[in-house]
Amino acid sequence: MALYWKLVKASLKSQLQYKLAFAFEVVMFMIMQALDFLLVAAILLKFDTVGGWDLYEVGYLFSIASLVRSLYRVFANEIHSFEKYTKNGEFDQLLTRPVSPLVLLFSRGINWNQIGGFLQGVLMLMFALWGLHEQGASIWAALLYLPVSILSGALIVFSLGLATATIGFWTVKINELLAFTHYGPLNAASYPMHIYPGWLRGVLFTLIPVAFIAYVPSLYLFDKGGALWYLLVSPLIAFVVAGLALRFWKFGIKHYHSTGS
Amino acid sequence: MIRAEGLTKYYHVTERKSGRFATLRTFVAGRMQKVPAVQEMSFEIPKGGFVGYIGPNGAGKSTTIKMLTGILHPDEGRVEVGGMSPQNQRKEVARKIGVVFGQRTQLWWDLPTRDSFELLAAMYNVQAADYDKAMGVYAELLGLHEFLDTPVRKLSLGQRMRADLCAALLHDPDVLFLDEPTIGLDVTAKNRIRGFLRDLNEREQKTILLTTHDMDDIEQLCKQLIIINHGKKVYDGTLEELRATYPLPSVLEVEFHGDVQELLLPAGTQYDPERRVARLSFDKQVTSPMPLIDALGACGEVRDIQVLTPKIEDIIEGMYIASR
Amino acid sequence: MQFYLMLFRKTYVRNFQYRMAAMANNLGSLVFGFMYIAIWQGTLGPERHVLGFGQDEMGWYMAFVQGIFFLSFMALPRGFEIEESVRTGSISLQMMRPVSFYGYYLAHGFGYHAYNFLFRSIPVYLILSLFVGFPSFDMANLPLLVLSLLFSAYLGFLSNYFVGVVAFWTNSTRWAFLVMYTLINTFSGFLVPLPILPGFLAPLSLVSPFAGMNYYPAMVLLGRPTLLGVLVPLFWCVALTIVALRVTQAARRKLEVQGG
Repeated sequence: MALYWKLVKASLKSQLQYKLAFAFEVVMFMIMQALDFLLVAAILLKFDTVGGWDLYEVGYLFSIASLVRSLYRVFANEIHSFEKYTKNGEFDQLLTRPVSPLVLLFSRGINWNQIGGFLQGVLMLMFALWGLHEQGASIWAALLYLPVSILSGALIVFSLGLATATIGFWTVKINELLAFTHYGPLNAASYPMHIYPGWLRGVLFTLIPVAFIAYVPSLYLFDKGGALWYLLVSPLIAFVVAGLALRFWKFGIKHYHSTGS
Repeated sequence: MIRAEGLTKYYHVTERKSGRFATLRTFVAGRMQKVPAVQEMSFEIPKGGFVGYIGPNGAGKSTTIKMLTGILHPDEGRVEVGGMSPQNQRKEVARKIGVVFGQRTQLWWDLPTRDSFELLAAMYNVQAADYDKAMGVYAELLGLHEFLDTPVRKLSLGQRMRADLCAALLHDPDVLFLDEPTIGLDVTAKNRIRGFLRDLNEREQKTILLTTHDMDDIEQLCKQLIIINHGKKVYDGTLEELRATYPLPSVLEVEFHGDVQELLLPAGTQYDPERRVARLSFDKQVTSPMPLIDALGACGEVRDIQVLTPKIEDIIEGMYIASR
Repeated sequence: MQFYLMLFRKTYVRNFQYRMAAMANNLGSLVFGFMYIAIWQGTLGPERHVLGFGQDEMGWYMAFVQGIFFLSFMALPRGFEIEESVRTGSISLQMMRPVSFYGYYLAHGFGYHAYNFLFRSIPVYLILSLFVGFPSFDMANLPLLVLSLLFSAYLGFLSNYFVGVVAFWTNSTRWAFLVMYTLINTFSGFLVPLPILPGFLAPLSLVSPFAGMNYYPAMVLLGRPTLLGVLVPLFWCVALTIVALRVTQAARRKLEVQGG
């Protein structure tokens, strides 16, 4: 753990070397996500609802999705950009250390500049909850559930990333695959699932279970016909998915030991 | 310290189809082929050994190093490093070895050099006192002080390699694996690193295995030589023994001044009348050059005499060709 | 000229090596496409309209822009990797060559575009259209559609070129990439037809260079070509070409003065 903090500090230090670029990127990530939402807001301001969900409810989905995505990119960016390890054989070096490769990957880079996305997510969440409160909805359940929601969401995103990285042990390249396992699904998670065609919904509930990041719990939290036990499903799914992803990762490393890159 | 027994590693290559729809047919019907990268490799390196592991590109050098360091697992055979298996006890072995890949750095690109050392010390749980001691010795010997506060990305190749060596030694490993540590360096930088490695091996009894294409590395450093070609060991012994076993002729070169009585030249002499140079091959193990010099001296007025000894490259090249 | 054609062809062919990766990416792109289509269908339902478009038209619109996404700078190597050339110093060699630096990347970029259009744009558009159907297209508008697509591809090339040449002046081009990404995402009509952007953003975006990337070509497909839809992209293509050439000159001068 002491090692981890040392590494965290080191990565902050190295990224602060380019102070201007760093500040700029933090702000840019904030603006990028804000504009993403602004476009949807433009639609919603004109038509009030998407699939029966209003601006603030969609805003809640949006903000949770962007919070967990940013957390993942801040803390586990090396998993996200794992291609450089498989492509250039850099993974070899991790295997010459007396620490597990996953821990090393976690500590290799805290990607601070994505913190902008996180801050923006917080602002958006405040906006959404404030709006819901103004409409007379109860937001206490959502507030209390927030830590669970963020942790289980981040765990799901991380697991998807880890599984994608593991595929890299066989295919070497994974960046293109990320559109299918990361970018696409996380955008999809920013909207209510029932607007999607059935087969896509099926994928988002099973193979790439991003539906559990924000949508499923909010069915109960905002009284959209969900039951109390929905709140338990998300963390449960998160743990199962993480367990599977870890096993797959271990299997991938075993494969790497026997074939190399 | 290091023992390899019957190490074998295969690569799996998909057999490519050719012709129409080649990719699709490869995808559907391509058979996996086993291609040996390293075959039946056995050797032993004692504590304090300094081994040059050499062979042409693609001979299996890197594959062997990867198996010794626990990155790759052998398909057949066993490895032991410091009495442990890198395959089953990877993390324990990692604490006992230091690895430097000449083409890649293990240092943090954007941080001052010193920070990388501190991070690695923390990663290997090196106590503060031991860290200070190690830095005191190695930073001095390698001359790191001038750039300890410079970010790694701004170091020259030679400086970076010195820093990488220091980084690999902080946790006081018994064994060092160096994959082409002098690649791309200029003569001064190479000499500095060689001096350091020799010292390290002699004074601290560190076991060192290095791969290289630089024959000077081998001549100046290595006590033991393992030559690999096409995945198989073709030689294991000292450099002197190698020279003795594969004697290549030395060459006597005599340059004349004025007229030369060509008819008197000893049999087998190649004579270049334009430059007035005579060349005669002989085997040092069997004959001494003195009578040959006398015989040549009788043919005219000698201006210059040179004896060219065979280079290690020539010997190894001869072996490569022989083992093909 | 022969050189540029050869470079164009070679870039086109080299993409075939990565077709598995491209296929994986197409899959991701389909997810995005279905998502945006679903958002609009979920919003409009069977009754509501936007700009006189119902959910069918918006489906066609979304399928189309998702297809021509591959003519944008997102489908090109980031900034043509000029940043790497500057960092490694190989840029000096490139600048020394007896071919135009700008022309080199133009041929290179359109090599990518050609491959991407055939093997990414068209399949993605066709697959999405299987779900949303095809608009009835007036063949008289075909030349105009082709012209619009050319504008779009050229603007896509230019935006990537600008991101790349920033490397001559700053350490990293990442920031320029992010700015460009944000601008294009917002003002090209990728998710939202431009006239419904709030406030002054709508008229502003309609005369911006970004409108020619997605919005105007989509309008031609949907049978609503306008004079503005030709003039605005044309103007920007010409104006930005001049700017790009000027910037290239400045970069060359900077390199000559300071070395690589």
